[in-house]
Amino acid sequence: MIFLKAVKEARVISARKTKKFLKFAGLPLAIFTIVLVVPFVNGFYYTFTDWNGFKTTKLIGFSNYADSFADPKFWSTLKFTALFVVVSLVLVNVVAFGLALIVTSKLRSRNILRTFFFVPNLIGGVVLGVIWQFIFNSALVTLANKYDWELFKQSWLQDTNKAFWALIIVTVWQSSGYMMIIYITGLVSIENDVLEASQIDGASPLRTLFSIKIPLMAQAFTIALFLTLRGGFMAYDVNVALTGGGPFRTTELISLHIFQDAFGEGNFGTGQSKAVIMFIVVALAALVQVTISKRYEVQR
Amino acid sequence: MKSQASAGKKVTFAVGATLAFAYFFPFFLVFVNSLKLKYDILENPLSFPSPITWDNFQQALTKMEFFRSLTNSLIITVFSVSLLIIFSSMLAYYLARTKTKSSKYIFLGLVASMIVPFQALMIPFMALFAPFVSWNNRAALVFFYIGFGVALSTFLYHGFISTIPTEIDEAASIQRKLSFKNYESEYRVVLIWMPERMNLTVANKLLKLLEEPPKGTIFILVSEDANNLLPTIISRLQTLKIPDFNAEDIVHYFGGITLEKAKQLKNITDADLGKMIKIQQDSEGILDLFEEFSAWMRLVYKMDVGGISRWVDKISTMGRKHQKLFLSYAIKMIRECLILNFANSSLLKTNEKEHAFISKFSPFIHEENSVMIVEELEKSIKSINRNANAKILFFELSLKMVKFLKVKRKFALK
Repeated sequence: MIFLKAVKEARVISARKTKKFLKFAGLPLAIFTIVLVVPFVNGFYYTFTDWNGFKTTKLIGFSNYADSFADPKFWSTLKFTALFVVVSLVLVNVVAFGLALIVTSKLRSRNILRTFFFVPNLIGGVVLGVIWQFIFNSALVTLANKYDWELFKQSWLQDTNKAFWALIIVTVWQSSGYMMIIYITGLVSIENDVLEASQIDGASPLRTLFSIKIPLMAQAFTIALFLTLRGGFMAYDVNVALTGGGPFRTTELISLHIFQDAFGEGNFGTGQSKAVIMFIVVALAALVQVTISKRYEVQR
Repeated sequence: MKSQASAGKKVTFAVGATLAFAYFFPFFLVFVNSLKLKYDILENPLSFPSPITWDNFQQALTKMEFFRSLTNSLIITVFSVSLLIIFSSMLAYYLARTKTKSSKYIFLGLVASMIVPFQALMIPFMALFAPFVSWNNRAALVFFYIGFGVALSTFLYHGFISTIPTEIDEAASIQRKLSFKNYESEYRVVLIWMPERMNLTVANKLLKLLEEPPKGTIFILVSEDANNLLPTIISRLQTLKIPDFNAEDIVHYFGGITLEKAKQLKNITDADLGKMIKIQQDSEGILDLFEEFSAWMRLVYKMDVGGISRWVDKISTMGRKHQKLFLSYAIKMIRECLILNFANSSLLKTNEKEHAFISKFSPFIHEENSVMIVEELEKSIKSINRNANAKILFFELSLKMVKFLKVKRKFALK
């Protein structure tokens, strides 16, 4: 009898738990599954079939992946993207950290400066791309012809190498404000007594920066580096709006390349397998980055 | 020094202002040019518009159907953001407060999904949903926005909720439970252990309940350190002091131990019944502690290294529990010596045998060396906890004690 009662009680408790789970987590998890998990799994499956965007007839193994790797355009895009990620990662974070230092100094104008730096982030990538396209294509070119500046006489967006730097400039301009906010939270979270102690010990401002501030806010670096890494790999709208991949598809980043491959040329199978490869690359890069920067974090 | 600081400030300001200008200039340029006629833009993009024209804006409004897209954006934003706030805060609350394996894995899955690039979903996404949804459907867009946003916002909420102490939840649940009426019995009792550990927000939350408890409700707060309670809480309570056990109580409780032993037990454990029971179970030879301690101190005082080494051999064969007990007993005895030195003997907790020893030994313990001795003993307890080699530890400790006992007091009190 007692045993039966216990079983009944356990059942009531577990039913209550399930009810709570469904109440709190059911709906959001269902939406998450439908929108993200199902397409992800499905997309993985499609790469092994002869899917053409409408129907699949049979499994074809790894030939989609083989085709992707055989595509020389894919390799050059990957290389271009890797270069873009590395350069933008370094520049964005250096600039953003500098901005954060300026904005957390004792300037009276720090709040208004902070607003100025953050403004580019409030506006979508497409609009920014259009703005800078205007600057690179007409404003700078007109000025260069008027005052005879050799560097800008031809639009930067017409030349692969210069277009790369144009992309970098716009990316740094756009995302450094956001990363600045992350660095500001890191800098502000350092306790004042530690800084005071270092001041009493006679540390110079530079020494304080490198030996105290940066180690204590390593977590902010982990987050900011992760976000810029991910942002670099997934950069799409600035790429589309600024260069559109041109000239001759030489400035296509991986996201745009996949989009063009699938929707532009109808190669859904290879497009999807390239997307899966991209996912693996991003996941590995993020994993390596996070493990390395976690090592520098100090427990407080 | 001051001028240097202000010079640095000026440089920072100059750099900051230049950068701010650089960050804002593109917007300015675009705005200025949007007020120009087409040929003016091409001719001199940097100058101010010579004839200011609002034609461009007008055209944009009519040709783009600006307001319709604005309404669309507005509707989608309002709905998806408000639903996201509700959904993800609830999900995050559930995941942060339910500490089960499955909730941990769900959270990990959400976090991991943040590194999935949209491009990996884009194509199958189209294929899956195109048959069901027309792409002009606002509701569908809201749905997708929630799906894509739920991971990040849940992650942020989760981080925040984890910093909120669970005690606040408990206080809220007490409040909720007390809002029900008594049904079967006349009284209900809320028992709060260690209320002095309660954090401030929770204490304030309970304050109102304590002030005016609902009908038939009794609060019992059991505190070992009532001084640390908030004064606002104490003023709302009746204080009832419960004294320590005395030795007779202990004898009565355990049965069959001597009064002397009970006193010693009480002395070692600060009258903590739980600890007493533990000691009672662990070791029978409690009284030996005194013998051991006095023997050790005599050896140390005589600087009899051979004797010390034999003594160390003996104690290092005992269990770690016994060694720790011995050391904490030693700390207690040092304390008794100090009390005997500075106050009258009525404060002592010793039994007769101990008292006899202490009255002879206490002149060697004074304000100079007692701190060092106690520190050293405490350090040894810690080391034993970390599996230190007992032989080395006790030998070194004994040699240090030799040194400590030789320390002369700087000035005499009496």
